[in-house]
Amino acid sequence: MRRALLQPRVLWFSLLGVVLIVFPYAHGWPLFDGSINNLGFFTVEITEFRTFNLTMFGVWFLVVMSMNLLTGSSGQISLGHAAVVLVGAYTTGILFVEFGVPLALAVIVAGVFTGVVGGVLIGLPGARLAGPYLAIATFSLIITMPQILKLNGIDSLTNGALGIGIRPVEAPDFVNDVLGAVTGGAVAVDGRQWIYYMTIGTAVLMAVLLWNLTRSRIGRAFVALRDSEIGAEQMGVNVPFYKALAFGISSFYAGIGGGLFFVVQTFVAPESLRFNDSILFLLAVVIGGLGSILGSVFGALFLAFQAELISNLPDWIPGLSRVRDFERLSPVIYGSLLIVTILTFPRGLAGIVQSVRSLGRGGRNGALDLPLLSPIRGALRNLSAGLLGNSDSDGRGKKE
Amino acid sequence: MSLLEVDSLSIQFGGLVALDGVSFEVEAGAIMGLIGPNGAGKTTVFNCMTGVYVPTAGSITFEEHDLLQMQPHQIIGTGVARTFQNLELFGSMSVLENLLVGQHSSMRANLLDCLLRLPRAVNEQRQARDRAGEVLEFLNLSEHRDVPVAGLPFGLKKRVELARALVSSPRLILLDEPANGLSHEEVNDLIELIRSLRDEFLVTVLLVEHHMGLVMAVSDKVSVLDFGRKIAEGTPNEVQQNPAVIEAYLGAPRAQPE
Repeated sequence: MRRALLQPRVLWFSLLGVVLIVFPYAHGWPLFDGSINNLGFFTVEITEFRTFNLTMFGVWFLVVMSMNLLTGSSGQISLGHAAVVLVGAYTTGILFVEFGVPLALAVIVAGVFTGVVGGVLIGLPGARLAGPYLAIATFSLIITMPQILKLNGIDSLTNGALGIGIRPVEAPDFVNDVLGAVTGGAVAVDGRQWIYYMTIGTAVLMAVLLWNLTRSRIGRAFVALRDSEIGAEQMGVNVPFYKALAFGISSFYAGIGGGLFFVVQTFVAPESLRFNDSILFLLAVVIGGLGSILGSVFGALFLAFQAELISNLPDWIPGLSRVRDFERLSPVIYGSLLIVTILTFPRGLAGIVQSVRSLGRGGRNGALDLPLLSPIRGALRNLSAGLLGNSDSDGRGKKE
Repeated sequence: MSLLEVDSLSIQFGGLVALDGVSFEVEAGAIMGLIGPNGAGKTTVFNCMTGVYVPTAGSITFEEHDLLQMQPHQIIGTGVARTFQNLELFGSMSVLENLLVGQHSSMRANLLDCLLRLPRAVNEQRQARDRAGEVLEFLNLSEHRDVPVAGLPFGLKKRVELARALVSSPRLILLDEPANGLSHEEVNDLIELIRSLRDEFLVTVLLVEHHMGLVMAVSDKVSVLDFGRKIAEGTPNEVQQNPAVIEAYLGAPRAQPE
């Protein structure tokens, strides 16, 4: 047991935990206020805004895990996941504003509600639809969702096009009372820090649950039906049921993520999440790494920082600042990123990390093609080969 | 009563009659071969037995179970496991994980057990790993335990599929062209292996195969299909002498002029 505590993995996780815990206070520390050049060449400056940034990372982490379970593990492509997240956000808002349910409870109930709705109303019928057809069905979901939320009959609940807003969350008094008593009044938690802890705590807890699930008979059944539907069925996996179950659990995660999205943003409207966001979620999963928790971490980092990254590009790449309305080109950048990712490292950033680690151990480089991606890769290879006039256009997308 | 009874099984795909009143029985503890030229309907019999296809007529009884009344995923729970002509392995998973999926139907952990790693999930997972270890040992696959299946050579993949079927402790195993793509030595090993399936694992074997050497060496009884009909049945020797079988494989001799 004592030796287990000294494992590098345990040390790294402990270090990460400490960083996550002290982070909301770091902006006040002299080391990080931007006054000193603490890395020699690069000034690390942590502003208060970063706490909000990382809170949104927690929200996106839940959403990307949700997407990754569905698409990465069980191989079902959803283009409408933003709609599922919206359901979670609206349910939380309605429960809190209209029915006076405490926010924390509202988020949990919203998660369960979204999970049931997603599993039964989308997952069960969706289990009959193969790949692209499910994508089209879920696509229609995100297109219609804003109109559904604006329906006249339910606008007393949803507030129509105006959406639902709340005041920012404050930390409960008892938390500050206890903290004050323990530290002699030196440490207090404000609302922004409180919601940070709640979100990151929830995300970490649910990541642990998902980690457990992927290593259980249920998680293996998801991957099995993705790799070979008939093989899974003949080994005793009830394929339609497990597809719907994957959709249900995924929707539960998306619902919790949506609820926290609402609490963090203090606002949700029918257009808060749109088709674009659905595509971004899918992009995040592919870039981060399909079917792994680490991949979800990278995907969430991408979602949390992509806007900032794009707007900073002109500072790094000379000449780009002369392009007018550069930000509007972001879809082009995302598209290119997706193509490059699929062609060069199909297992995403997480795949690169795993390859580097297995090289370090002297093990084999397990650069596996995911069956899910190989048809897409084949198609893209053919396309690029055609454009470049290259004769080497065998798709190499075959499974075996 | 026989372990498996297939009675007047018929199935049509559009205008094509793939099986036309096929009947046969497999005794417990037997090794039975199912042979016939390409397109005779051998794999279709397997697919009807395991619920992939729904036959238009006939019945399939395994012990007391009416297999035609069951959902495809319920078949393995009755004790019938199969391999595939074109491999249906879970390529991204390791060999061990493939064998754990093979035991899916005998594991009971529910969603809560799995999410929270409750004792039930942990215990049965440990038992499943032990069981998988035994089968891997038996099939000389232990050294490949943690390797992703997609990267294995073809012969090993076939053996992993056999292991995956065997790990569910079936009483009847359906092998669909196990010798397909194997080298001469590998076929000799396979003959020994199939015999030991019966003798050590007490599994009844139903075998679809093109490799005549293998079928004739291991089978107690051979059934011959041609164009969806059973044309002969008997011991390997009897079947080899049967004029209908020779005709099906080699064609009829030209009619002698009177």
